[in-house]
Parts: sequence; structure tokens; C-alpha cells
Amino acid sequence: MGVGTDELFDIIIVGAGPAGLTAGIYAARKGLRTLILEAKYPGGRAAEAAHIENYPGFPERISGLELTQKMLEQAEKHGAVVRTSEEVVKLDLKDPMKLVETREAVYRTRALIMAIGVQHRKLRVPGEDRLLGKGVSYCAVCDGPLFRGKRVAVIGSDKTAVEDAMYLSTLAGQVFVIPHEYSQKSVAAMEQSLKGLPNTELILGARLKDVNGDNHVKSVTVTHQGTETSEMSVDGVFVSIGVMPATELLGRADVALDGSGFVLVDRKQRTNLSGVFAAGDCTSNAMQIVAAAGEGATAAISAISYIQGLRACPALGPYLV
Amino acid sequence: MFTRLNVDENPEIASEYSVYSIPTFMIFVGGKPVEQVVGAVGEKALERAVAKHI
Repeated sequence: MGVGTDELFDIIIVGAGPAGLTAGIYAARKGLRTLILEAKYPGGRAAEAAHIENYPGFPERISGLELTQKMLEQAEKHGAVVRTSEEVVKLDLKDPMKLVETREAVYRTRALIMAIGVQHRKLRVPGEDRLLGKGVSYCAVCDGPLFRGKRVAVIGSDKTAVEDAMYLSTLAGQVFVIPHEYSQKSVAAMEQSLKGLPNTELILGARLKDVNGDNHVKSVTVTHQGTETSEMSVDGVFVSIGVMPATELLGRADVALDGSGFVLVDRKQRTNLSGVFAAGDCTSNAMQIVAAAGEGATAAISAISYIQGLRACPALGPYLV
Repeated sequence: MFTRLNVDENPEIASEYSVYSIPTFMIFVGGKPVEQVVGAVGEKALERAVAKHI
């Protein structure tokens, strides 16, 4: 496959979740040539939320998919170019003219906003990767309806795991909740939230050991109190053990990261590299849609200001087309 | 021919073809499923999957 080169943009935004789409709205509305590159599909993790009740302006609540579709529509309406299923594989950020490489093309840009979000944390147990999409899922809202009337396990201990279990209990025939970590607080919260759900069972003392099945999930093996093992027949395994940054690409391009891999930014969403900004969950913010959108707006405003500064500097003439 | 099936409205068909994740892209030849691509893999990967069966 040939790689096209040299398409020039004022701002490239990587990631089409709430942070990236909001940045796109601001940049495109200013008349800047704006490209949003998304490795998967628009919306990010926000699109996976069944209901959003705390995004201002939607008192009747809205689904994550609908909210992010509106953001996408708004960005495109103002002229942002959105390319989905196009993953960035390499960044060269040394010069004022930055290079962003995907499998399809190499783009040039004056400013870059990274809004790549986070990825679901994996259990790292045998069978998890092999059976992904074949009964193993990281998104209860997306895949839950495929398990109507079936037996599923939810792995996790936090609020999201509880929410996933509650949602799945409305669809599945039986829901087993297997904690991933045990603290007095999390166990008490889970017991409190799950009690009264007739088809949901919290398996205290258990830990997931294996996910089993040939072509699709058939069962899970769990250990009890660290010793005894048993096999539970299930059709689906929903992993809900939190998120982690996926910023290796940025680290390789010398963008400063914190000890956990999140992008370090200042209050204007600037990274350590000139002309490179970051927004949303990849900066370890409040992990809220409204916060990500706000950061996306700030990053775009900072990037616009940066580009205006470039234009005012004659020495950078060769970079301005 | 390309067609789209809403699994929420057709759970029996999803179950018949062992669809456990959205999106799932299936290729049928002569009425029989010959390949299943699970997840948002991108247009290029889908093109490659289709090309194998043409």
C-alpha cells in the first residue's frame, strides 16, 4: 500500500472523542484547515455511555452515542475534515512543520493536538485476548444486548463495574460479579449496590484465573481464597477494571509523560514541545466528558494563538504556506 | 451485496451466527458464512477481508 504525502493542515487533532471534536469545532470555526484523525470510530469512550445525565444542556439526559454524534456533526459543519479508521503510527515533532504519519498518508501540520483518550485495562489472564469479541468484551453498553437471556460474568470492583453489572442484569439471564481487587470499601459498596438484583450474584473471595472456550466463551475458571478452583459456565465476560493511557507513540516523539504514562500539560494544555498540545483523558483529567470538552477548547485556543505567533515571525516563512 | 443488520432488533440472527461483539462484519459466499471480522478494524482491513473471497 502506497503512502501519500504532504497534505498540509494548520491543525491536526488526533482522536475524535469529546476533547478532539471540541478542539475541531473551535479550530475549524476560526477558519483554520483542521484535520481530525481517529483510529477507530468517532465518540471515544463517551460513545460507550448508555446515559449521560451530567453534561450541561441536556436535562433529560442523552446517550453517549447521540451526544458525540452531535459533536461530530458540529465539527464537520464548521469545516473540520474527519478521517476515521485511520491510525497514527508515527510522529515527527522536532520542527515547526510537524509530520503525522498514518498507514494511509503522511500529513504536515503547524500545530498538533493529541486527544487520544485512554484504553481499557486488560486482565492479562489466559483466554482474554484470544476470545476478545467472541464473548470477552470491554463495553457492556455496546455488546450487552447480544447476551440477552444468557449467563455473563462482570470482572471488576469499582463504580463502573457495578454500573455494568446493573445494566447487564436488565438483559442477561444471570450475572456473576467477580471482584478484581478487594478492599473493605469497594466490597461494601458493591454489596450495597447489587443487593436486590434478583439475577445478580456477587462472588466474594473469587478471582478470575482463565477464560475458557474454543470459538467463543464457554466458561471461566476462578480461584477461591487463593487456593480452590472452580469452573463457572458463562457465555460472556465483561472486563471492567479501569483504564490506562496509550501514549507510547508520544513518548517516542519526546512528548513528556508522567510516571503513569499520561501526557503532562500546563493550564493552556501545552506539552513540553512547542506547537504540541494535549487534551482529554490522555492528560489524566477528571475523566469527565465536560472536562474533556473544556480542555479541547482550551487546547484549540492555545494552538490558534501559537499559529498566529508563527505567522508574525518572518524567520518561519518557509513553514507558512 | 452489502447489507446491515440491527442486532438489537434481530437477536435470534445474531445468536445463530455467534455474533458477540459490535461491530461484526461477516462475509457470505453462496449463502454460507466464510469469514467474520470482529471490531472496528477500519476500511482497509475490511477491504482485504473481502478481496480474499473475490
